[in-house]
Formats: sequence, structure tokens, C-alpha cells
Amino acid sequence: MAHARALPLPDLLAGDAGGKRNGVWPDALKRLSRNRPAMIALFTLGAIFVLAALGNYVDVIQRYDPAALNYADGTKTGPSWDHFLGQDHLGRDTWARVLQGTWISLRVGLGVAAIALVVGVLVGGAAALTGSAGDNILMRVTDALYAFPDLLFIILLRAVLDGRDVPGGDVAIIIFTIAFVSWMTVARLVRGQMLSLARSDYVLAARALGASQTRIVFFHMLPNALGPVIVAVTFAIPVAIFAESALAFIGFGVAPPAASLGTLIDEGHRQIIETKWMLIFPGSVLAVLMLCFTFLGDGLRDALDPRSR
Amino acid sequence: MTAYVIRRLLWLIPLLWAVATITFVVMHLVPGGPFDSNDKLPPATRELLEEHYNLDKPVYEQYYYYMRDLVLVDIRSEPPFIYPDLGTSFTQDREVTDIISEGFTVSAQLGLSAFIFALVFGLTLGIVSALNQNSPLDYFAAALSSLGVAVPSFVIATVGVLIFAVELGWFDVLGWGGPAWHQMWNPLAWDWRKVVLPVVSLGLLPMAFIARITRASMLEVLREDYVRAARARGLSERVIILRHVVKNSLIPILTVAGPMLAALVTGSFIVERIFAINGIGTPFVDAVFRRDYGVIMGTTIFYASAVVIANLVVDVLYAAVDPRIRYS
Repeated sequence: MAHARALPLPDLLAGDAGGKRNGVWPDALKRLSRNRPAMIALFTLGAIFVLAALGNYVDVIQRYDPAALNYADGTKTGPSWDHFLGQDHLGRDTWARVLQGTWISLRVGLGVAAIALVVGVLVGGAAALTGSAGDNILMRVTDALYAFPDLLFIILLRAVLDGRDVPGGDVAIIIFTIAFVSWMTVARLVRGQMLSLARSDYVLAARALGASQTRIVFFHMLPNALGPVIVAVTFAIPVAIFAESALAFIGFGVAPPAASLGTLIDEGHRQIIETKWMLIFPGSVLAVLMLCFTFLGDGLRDALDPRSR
Repeated sequence: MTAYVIRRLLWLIPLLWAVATITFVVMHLVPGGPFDSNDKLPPATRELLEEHYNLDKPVYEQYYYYMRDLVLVDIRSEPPFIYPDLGTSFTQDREVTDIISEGFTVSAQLGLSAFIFALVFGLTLGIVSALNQNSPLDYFAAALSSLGVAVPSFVIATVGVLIFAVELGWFDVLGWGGPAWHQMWNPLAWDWRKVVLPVVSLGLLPMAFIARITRASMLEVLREDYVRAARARGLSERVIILRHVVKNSLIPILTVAGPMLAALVTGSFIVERIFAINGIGTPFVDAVFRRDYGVIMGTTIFYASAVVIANLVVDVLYAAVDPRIRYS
């Protein structure tokens, strides 16, 4: 009861008077939907995602083959009705190229986040649940990988896997490479959450009621540990997109003629004296993506962890 | 505390061994060797070269030689006297230690300057916006830090070059303007026209990050009971803010500062490339392309030690600043 007294009285009354008790997730969803920047970000991301996906598979939206050299229409042109975002130094349509690049960048970001989530939860959960010996081994391995300078190792791994025949091609290789240095944060977070939850009163209560270990882990601990993990994974998406474009910028991106946003920015950077459009469009799309994921992450954190506000 | 530091330093040994071994294995998985690209090389010359660098030996033997050299450090007459023996660069025929120390002098100056820039402006922005919560100033700071988070360093750098160097002609863009180490504290030794743009493009993201954390942390501390107590005791607002609020809100910033410094000093590859700065990034990328095993290994080991030591320093500082934290 000591805890209850610390709560502001109206909150307690409201909880009782309503008679209905909301779960953690509906509550969080409600808080998220009230957060205007996060909702705008979510909507924008959805629109970009749909546009990029359609733009890669529907000719009417893509309009030009991103690899086709339309010299006849001119090179390094500005925006026009024929070429919405202009053309690059080889006459390729920037609209089609940016759509393609956005699709690659989104796939990299989401792919890395998915792998980081799965591997991080598995390793972190295993470390927390297998007792001190397993915990020690797994966390020492995580520590060792954590000590690697990220970009150095990504470049090295990328060189190892370059040109190998992998299902999914270059994009899969890049996702794997970046994911390799991204899952440790999630693993540490999951481990910390699980360890502290294992000592919580409700887990003790569940154990006292005779719940099995599996039930406790999957019904009581995992859902409660997930909030901060989802936030961390959301923030991992822009970091991965950034890492991919950095990689592409120094020449380790997808093989041409395909191009990610990083490759496009690199090309724009090379042509900057003669045309600014080639830099402005991919640069702005990348900035909008990063900004939206950051706002969404902020919103999720506020929604899932009300104490942190 | 001393025992804790010693234990952490000892832990450094297996950690670096793991880093070196993993890098060694990964590196040898890269198809091709250092003398493959040079197809005009006569077979006899190539054999001699490979023999000279022990490349004709099986990989496990090469590993043994590398590790043995690494453990038996070089002793030299100039400080810090003990140098790690990181082998020779196959493509430049120079000591890897020399290549790294040369490049690192530049990268470290760039990273440190960006770190100081981020710290000074990030803290100021964070503190000012927390003290004027929801004012136009706060919104301006929020917009500025969103920009720093959203726009990648290479876009900022390119746009910066276009506006401030090409159009306005305020800055130069090729090379690094930092002085030799013993001149570090002399502002006249720095070529500011070359320094400003790379430092700002590298430091904007960490600056935004620090500003956000500072603001959040300040707002939290401002609500604490001891701040209210200080107000009740009738202390001046200046004393309350400086002595009670700012000091206590710096603790979370310390946790991110160490990894951030390490990331800035090691992660300036892209900015170095844009501004043609002879740091450590270009030799490393070249080494990966040319399969220059010695430089790849040396750089990775060197950076891993830098990251680990930076984290250790932060943990120690953390305990020193926050008396609630005790290591055993």
C-alpha cells in the first residue's frame, strides 16, 4: 500500500471509478495516438513506404526505368513535367532513382531492425534465463563484439561478402553486415529487463501460484520487457539507414546500376558544381526518413514508458 | 575502486585477443591476397614478396607470427617508449604503427574538436531550452537538434561546402588545418579556414544528441525535491541552477560522452573523405580494397582498444561524480 499512496489521488479514483481496467498496450496506443509529431511521422513513413513500394513495381508510378539512359531528354536537368525530379549526369530519371533508393534504404533499415530484434531478444533472453554461467559467456561475447569499431567492421565484412551469391543479393548482404554490429544493444537491454523483471513481485506471485517457467517467461516477463526493446529497435532503423548510406557513400553500397539513397547522395556530391538537384532530392528524402523514425521512436518511448516523460 | 579498475584493465587482454582473432579470421576470408591485383608481377618476384611477408605460410602459422609480434612489444627511444608491433604494411612497406600514428594524429584532432564543439554547444542549447521550456527559444533549439539528428554528416558537409566555401568563399575545403600536437593550445597554429567545416559537419549529430539529453535531464532535476528545498532556503536562482541543477543533470551526459568520443575519433571516415583529410579513414578503406592485412589488423586493434579504454574511463568518472554508484 505504500506504493499506492505515492500516486496522485485523482489517478487512483479515475482507475476505480471507470470500473474498466485497460492493459498496458491499449493505454500505450492511446498515448501514442495523442502524440501529434509521432502520428505525423507515422503517417509520412506509411506514405513514403507505399510510394516507394509501388514505385518499384508499378510502371505508371515509376515512369522510367531507373537504369535507362535518356540522353535524348538531356542530362543534369532540373525538375519538369517529363522528369519530376530532373535527370542525373547520365540522363537517368531522378524520380525513378530516388524511389528505388528509398525502397532499398527502407528495406535495409527494417531488415536490420528485424534481425537485431530477433537475435537480441534470443541472446539477451538466453543470457538472463540460463543462470550465471550462460549469462557470463553470452555477455562476454556481446562485450567483445561491442568493442569492435562499427564502421571498420562493417566495411571489412562487406568486403568479405562482396560478390558472393546470396539469396536476396546485395541488399541481403548489406542487411546482414549492419545487423551484425547492431543486435548487441538490444541483447543488453533485454537481459537487463529480464533480470530485473525476474525479481519483480508479480513474477514471484506467478511462481507461487505454480505457473510453469515457460508460462512465466512468455506471459509475464516478455510482454513487460518488450516496451523499451521496441523503442530501441525503432531507433535502430534510422541508424541502419544512416550506416547503409555511409557505406554507399564510400563505395561499398549495392552494385550499380541499382542505387541506394547513399549512392545517389554520393553522385550528387560529385556533380554539385553543375547541378544541385541531384543532391537535394535524395538528401531530403533521407533527412525526412531519419526525422520520422526519430519522432516515432520518441513517441513510442513516451507512450510505452510514461515515467520517462 | 582500484581493484575494479585493475580487473577491467586485465579484462582488456582477452577482449583485444578476441577482436584480433575475429578480425584475422574475417580478413583472411576476403577473397584475394595483397599481391593479386598487381597482375604484371613476375611469378618469381611475387614468390619472394610472399616469402618476405610470410604469406607463403599456412594461415594458422601467419596467425601465430602476428600474435607473437603483438605480445612482444617494440621498445623505442621516444615516448611513450612501448609501441605495439603491428607488423608491416604490404603495400607501403612501412611500419603499421607509423601509418596509424600519423593518421591518428589528424583523426584524433578532428574527433576531439568535434567532441568539444558538440559538448559546448549541446550543453548550452540543452540548458537554455530547459530553462525556457516551451518558449520560442526552446522550439528553435528543438528544430536545430532535429536537423542535426536527421541530416547525415555527408549531406551537411556537402551543402556546407557549397554554401560557405564555393558561394561565400569563407572557408577552404581541402585538407586538415590542425597543428602539430605540441602546438595544440596555440590558437594561431590552427588554420581555422580549413578546420571549421569538417568539425561542424562531424559534430552536429552528437551536438543534437547532447542537447536533447541535457534538456530532458535538466527538466527532471528541476522537479526534484532538493531543488525546491534550495529555493525554500532562499538561495539565488543563479546558485540553484549552477550548483544544484546543472551539476546533477550532467550525470546522464557522462554515460554517453565516452562512447561518443570514441565514435567521433574513430568514425570520421566520411568527413575525412569529403574534405580530403589525411586521417586514418582513407588508409583503412584503401587497405581493405588492397587486402593490406597488416593495416587492417592494426587499425582494428588500435580502435578497439580506444573504444574499450574510453568506456572504462567513463565508468570510473561516473563513480567519481555520482557517489551513489560504487563498483565492487
